[in-house]
Amino acid sequence: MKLQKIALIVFALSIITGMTSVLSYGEALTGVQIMQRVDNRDDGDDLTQKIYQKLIDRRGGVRERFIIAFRKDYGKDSKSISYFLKPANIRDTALLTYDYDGTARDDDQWLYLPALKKVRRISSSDRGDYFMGTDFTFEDIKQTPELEDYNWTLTGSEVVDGHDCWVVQGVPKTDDLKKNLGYSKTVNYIRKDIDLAIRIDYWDRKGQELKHFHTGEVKQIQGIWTATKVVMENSQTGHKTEMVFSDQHYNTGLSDRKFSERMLKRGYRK
Amino acid sequence: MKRLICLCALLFLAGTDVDAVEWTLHGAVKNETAWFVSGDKRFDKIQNRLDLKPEAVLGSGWEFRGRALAWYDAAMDVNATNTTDLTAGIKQHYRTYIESKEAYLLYGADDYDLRIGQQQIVWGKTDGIRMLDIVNPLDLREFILDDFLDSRIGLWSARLNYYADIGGTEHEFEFVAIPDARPASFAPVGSRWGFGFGTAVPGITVATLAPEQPNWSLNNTELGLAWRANVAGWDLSLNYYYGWNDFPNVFKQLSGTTLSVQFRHLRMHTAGGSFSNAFGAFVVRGEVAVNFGEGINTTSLTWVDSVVRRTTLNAAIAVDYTWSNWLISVQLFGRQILNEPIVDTTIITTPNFATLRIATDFMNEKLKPEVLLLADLDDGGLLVRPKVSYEFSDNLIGTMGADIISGSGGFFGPFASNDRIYSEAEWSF
Repeated sequence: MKLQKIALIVFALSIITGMTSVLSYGEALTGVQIMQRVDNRDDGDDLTQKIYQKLIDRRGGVRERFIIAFRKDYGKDSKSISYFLKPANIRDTALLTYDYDGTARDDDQWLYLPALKKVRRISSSDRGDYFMGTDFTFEDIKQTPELEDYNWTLTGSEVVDGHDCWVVQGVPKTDDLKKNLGYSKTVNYIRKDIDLAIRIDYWDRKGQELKHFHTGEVKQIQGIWTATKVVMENSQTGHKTEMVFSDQHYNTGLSDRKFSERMLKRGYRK
Repeated sequence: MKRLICLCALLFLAGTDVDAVEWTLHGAVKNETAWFVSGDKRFDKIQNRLDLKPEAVLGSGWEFRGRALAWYDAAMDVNATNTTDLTAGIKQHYRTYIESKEAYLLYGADDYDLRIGQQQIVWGKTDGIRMLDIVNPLDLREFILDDFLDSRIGLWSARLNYYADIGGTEHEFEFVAIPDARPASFAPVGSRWGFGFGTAVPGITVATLAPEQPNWSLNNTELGLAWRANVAGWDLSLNYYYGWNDFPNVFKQLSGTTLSVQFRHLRMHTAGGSFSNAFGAFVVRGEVAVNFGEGINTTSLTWVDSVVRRTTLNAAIAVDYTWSNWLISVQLFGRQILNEPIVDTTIITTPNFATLRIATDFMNEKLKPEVLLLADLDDGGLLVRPKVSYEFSDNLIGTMGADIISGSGGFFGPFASNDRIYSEAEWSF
């Protein structure tokens, strides 16, 4: 009887220990569950930050962009507004986006063009379109891709830059989505400790290696893990975009009025 | 009035804490060179431009924003003077230019913006042909080929934009008052970009009387109202404007063998609205402007009948299609005189237009080719504007293009011998 009790306790402990180890290493998680964790990661209810973009062509020619960006979450939806501050030829160009969760509704986007002094409604359906000459598509610059666009598969674990990562492969569910997103496959390296993608490899619609995303620096700002340096390098064109994020301020209670056509037209002045 | 506004602005600036004011200066140095490749082949322009945009954050919600544009056109000294299209007077008109385009104070409160000073106020959703975009007149020294940003004449005005949250949607209400009523500025008669005003009739002497045009006064003040909101995904506006027609009517009186001609600008009411929405890869946009009491020129030769007032309906619809980094944009502009008598061949109408713009980019938006076609649907004239620009660096952009004009009459016919190629080099700071 005593032995039976001991055996039961040992058995129970082994189950608990086993569960704990499964949860802690996440081996029981599926690809989509991991991506949901990435999607649900705390990124603040609102964010103000400066963005420095460095566009480098294959010959080493450099173009620079300075942006200030604001984002506010509305449940799973979000609104963002970005102002180009430099260089002078695109100064005051501004983009307003209403990002709706899921794929049932296209995002709404407006672009202010100072050369026309007009706010333009623009189509956001082509999510594979590249953003302002960078190597990031409109879809890439979102925090996470629309999860329902892809079939997600956990293919294993790998150490990237000294961090233990899940390796999750995403394949667009339909050929139309492949065309729309511009990718036939992505492979995402997700840090297990903070649910953050630190490396993503992309293959184009024809299955050719296309580009590589790499997070160069991650910091905890106001308790929120934040990528502060990222690079996207297109292996087909040799073009590269580096982005440095700075002056982050989370949860400052940004006014709803900040995300409006009015503010697009008024421009950003400190 | 203008002096009063300037004085108020100066007093305001004098009252601000100079140390707290943050001034910035942006702008560009640009060369625009164009060569006529049809008609008399010569330089159209060799403009060396300075574009300055001074700004200041004055504190307490106030800002100053300005823009001044100046140039010297060396073509006026390179080309030989003649007695037709390059007289000394025409050369003087084109040789130098210095204008303030904008100079206004902006006060931004939580629920309203107030702008006082010289401004460009842009209404409407369409490009190229102006239907609702009627607030600022144009400087037509290069016909309609100059960028509107450069050709719009800034007007001294007061503009209040009030924002109210109604039912969870932001509604904007705009109030505009413009004492600085000014007409469009035309290229000199006889110049390559000058409008012709009919052909001489043998035996008839034309006597041109001094034009009647609005000027700065309280009585001539133009007033505008607008409402804007996003309703069920649609960007909508309703607009009303009580202003002066930027283009003059031609009043005529034939007495014996003398034809007296006088250009007069008439007041009119304009009511309309605009809309835009996105449907997948398509964006639909458009606008409507109904002019009440618009002056319409007729072929009659009496002061009373040579211009009649009519209600005109002006409407435009546009569709933009985006695929990858390609943009295809089609616009249709229609115009109808509503209370025109059924048979009245004396009414001179203005044409309907269609435009097509195809634009794309290569090399991460360094290289941007595009072509714009503007067709006169009534008279068959056509303006074709291909161009390609290249971003050499963050500050330096080069552009090459052509303006090809065809037509035997109508809107484009008078300029059919003005095909030109051009280059632009702009260094911005």
